Amino acid sequence: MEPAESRTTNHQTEPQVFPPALLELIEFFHQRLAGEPFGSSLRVTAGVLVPGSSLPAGAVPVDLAAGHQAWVCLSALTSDSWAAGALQALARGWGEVYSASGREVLLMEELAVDWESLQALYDLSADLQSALKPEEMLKRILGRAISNDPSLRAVLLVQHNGVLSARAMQNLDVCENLNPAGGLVGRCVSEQRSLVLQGQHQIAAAGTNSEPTSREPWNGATSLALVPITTAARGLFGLLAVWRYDQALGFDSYFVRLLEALGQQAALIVESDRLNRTLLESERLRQEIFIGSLIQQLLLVGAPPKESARLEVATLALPSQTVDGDFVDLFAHPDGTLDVLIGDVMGKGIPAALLGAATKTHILRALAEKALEMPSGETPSPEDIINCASAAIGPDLVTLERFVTLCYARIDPAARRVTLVDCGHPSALQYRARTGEVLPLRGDGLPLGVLLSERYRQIEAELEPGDLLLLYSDGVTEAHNAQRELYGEERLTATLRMCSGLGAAGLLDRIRTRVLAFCGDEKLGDDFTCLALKIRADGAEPASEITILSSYTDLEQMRTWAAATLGSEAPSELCDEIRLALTEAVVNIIRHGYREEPGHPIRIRAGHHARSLVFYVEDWAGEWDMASIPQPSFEGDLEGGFGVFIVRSIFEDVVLTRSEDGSNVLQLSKSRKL
Amino acid sequence: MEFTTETVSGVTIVTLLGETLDASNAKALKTDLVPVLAPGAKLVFDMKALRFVDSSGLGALLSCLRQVHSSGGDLKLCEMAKTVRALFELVRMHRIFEIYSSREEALRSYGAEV
Repeated sequence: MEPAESRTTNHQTEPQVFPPALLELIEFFHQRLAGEPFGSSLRVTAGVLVPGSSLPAGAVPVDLAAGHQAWVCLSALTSDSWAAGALQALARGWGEVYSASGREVLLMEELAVDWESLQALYDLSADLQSALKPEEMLKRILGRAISNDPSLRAVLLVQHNGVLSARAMQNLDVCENLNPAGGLVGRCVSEQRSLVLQGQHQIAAAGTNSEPTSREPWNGATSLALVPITTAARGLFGLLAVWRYDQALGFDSYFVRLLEALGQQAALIVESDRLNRTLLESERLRQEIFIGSLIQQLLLVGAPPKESARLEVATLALPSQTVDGDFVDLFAHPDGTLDVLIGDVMGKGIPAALLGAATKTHILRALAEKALEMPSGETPSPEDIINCASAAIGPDLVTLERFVTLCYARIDPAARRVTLVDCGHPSALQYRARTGEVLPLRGDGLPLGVLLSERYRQIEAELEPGDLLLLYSDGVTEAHNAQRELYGEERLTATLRMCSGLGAAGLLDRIRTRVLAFCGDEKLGDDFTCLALKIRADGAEPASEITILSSYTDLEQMRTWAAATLGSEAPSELCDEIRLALTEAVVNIIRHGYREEPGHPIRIRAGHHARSLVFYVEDWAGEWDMASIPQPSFEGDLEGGFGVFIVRSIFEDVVLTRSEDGSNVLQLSKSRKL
Repeated sequence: MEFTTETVSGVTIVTLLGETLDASNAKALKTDLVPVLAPGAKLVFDMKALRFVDSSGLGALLSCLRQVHSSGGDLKLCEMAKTVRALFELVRMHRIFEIYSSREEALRSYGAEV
């Protein structure tokens, strides 16, 4: 027998709380999260959090009994911010529910002597599992408290926003809100213990000195039991009061213990209900966002990019937490021109989204109407289209007190020209491959719906192969970080310059990553809509620039580009030298500038000069100094350091400058031998 | 980069099979060649497939040379393309490496019967 006993002792000294508590924990989380939207794929994992150890990635800490902690995480859902929110909410809820149920177990054990009370508690525990409404369950709890004795009155007061208000009553019609600091309530709260009082005089004299702000419902009672309910997470949760008027029959301590247990049950129900509401609320919000983004995808920005041999087109739409009226559209004309439209309806919500869809329709109709008036084969001008659409939709917008900003651009790859009407929209940005500059294309039109007499005029700009056009909504430039700093046109311009070589889709991908990284944990306040267009180089002329990412495996691609740029007539020795020198320059940037971190852009651009070959190698690695690279040794005792030497040997002129937007530009020139 | 090895009269010939030896594969090649660089090894690297070598690739070859030298062995290069030879000359490594135009010449320099 002895070994068995000692085993038992061991079990008691080892905290056995963990395994069952963890199972309960997993069940708790799983029950509330299973089903939509997670389906059967949901896995909940939990473990004991050893003091001093760190949380697993994506996990949240939760409190267990006796100061122990555990962690919980959900499978493969860390990227879903809703799931992360739900996990946090449940972790808080668990703390409250668990602490309440822990107390309930203790009280039940104490009450085991009283069969009837125990029976009452078990019945209620069963109710907790049932689908009864919380108000119904609370009423039952109070029914138990008074054992359905019509001479007893009971009220459950719950603290909310600094006052105690009745959440359930028995044999009582009204109960005013009570101040938790005054009267008998105040005493019970400040002393944190149950009060049992008998006789009108004693009850009247027992309150705190400060007067209760309202009449306490038990005024004039002959016996009163007042039980505070506290939970670990919230402190004072509320009070449970039972009293009678007619007889001097008092309440015994068992009765008070029963009330305390019932109070914990009540706390459990209220907290659980609050938690479920929070979850439902976030689910509802998620649904709304889902519907919003569906509208956005289908009606507003869902137009498939129209690619052509001459044009590369990409669109990006990230819906915000609320629905916005951003819209995008593309119309390809038979003459090879492409019209692009980006717009933003003032205001939010589904009405704004529908107005965005209506504006799009009006513009399409205006385009069709104007086209009918034109000699066949000709396309109406952007300003005619917008003036026609403005006449049609303007009065409606004025009536609705809404306005719409938009930018309508026609790209003519053959004529190398963009024609654009700007209706109060953020300026389109043009990256010019020839110079490496970014220019805003700014018109002076008012938004649609502001002034009915407004006449819209178009502006024109030249477009060359390699040029990029970026149209965007203010959700991009007005995305902000935790310090309320805006992403701004300047950062967007820098990103466009930096990533212009990545093509239209690559550029938008970088914009998305960079803006989201800038915002950090801040949510996008507005929809985020971008459209990028790149004028492809004609087959005959090679692209004058290339952007590669900071990975050595991209070197070959850069060398292929360099050879194509130099053309087949270039002497092969020259071609070899240029390929080598550019490789060395880029390897130095990757190694010393970006410290071999992958994914950063490096742009190599070929200049057009009659008498010399010029290459610009640009990086965004911050200020780093080529001079810091050690000198090479020609004795064979060092394996590195030849890169800079090679670059300087091949190019006569090597100049490193820092551009205005913080990039490093290495200008490499070599005279052409005629 | 892939390579093959064969032994002719006590000389190990390493034939480098890739066209490019640059920063993208120099480190890996250095690691892969470790078993070949036995103490006292007589080595010839046949470079006829290589079309492009940059300074990182050169660094890997230099590292092999130093390792072999320190253990009493030797490393010679042969069959080097003109473009690769240009790099060696640019950084004067043609004075550090023994470079032969053919595999046979390289073998003969070790006194091997060809």
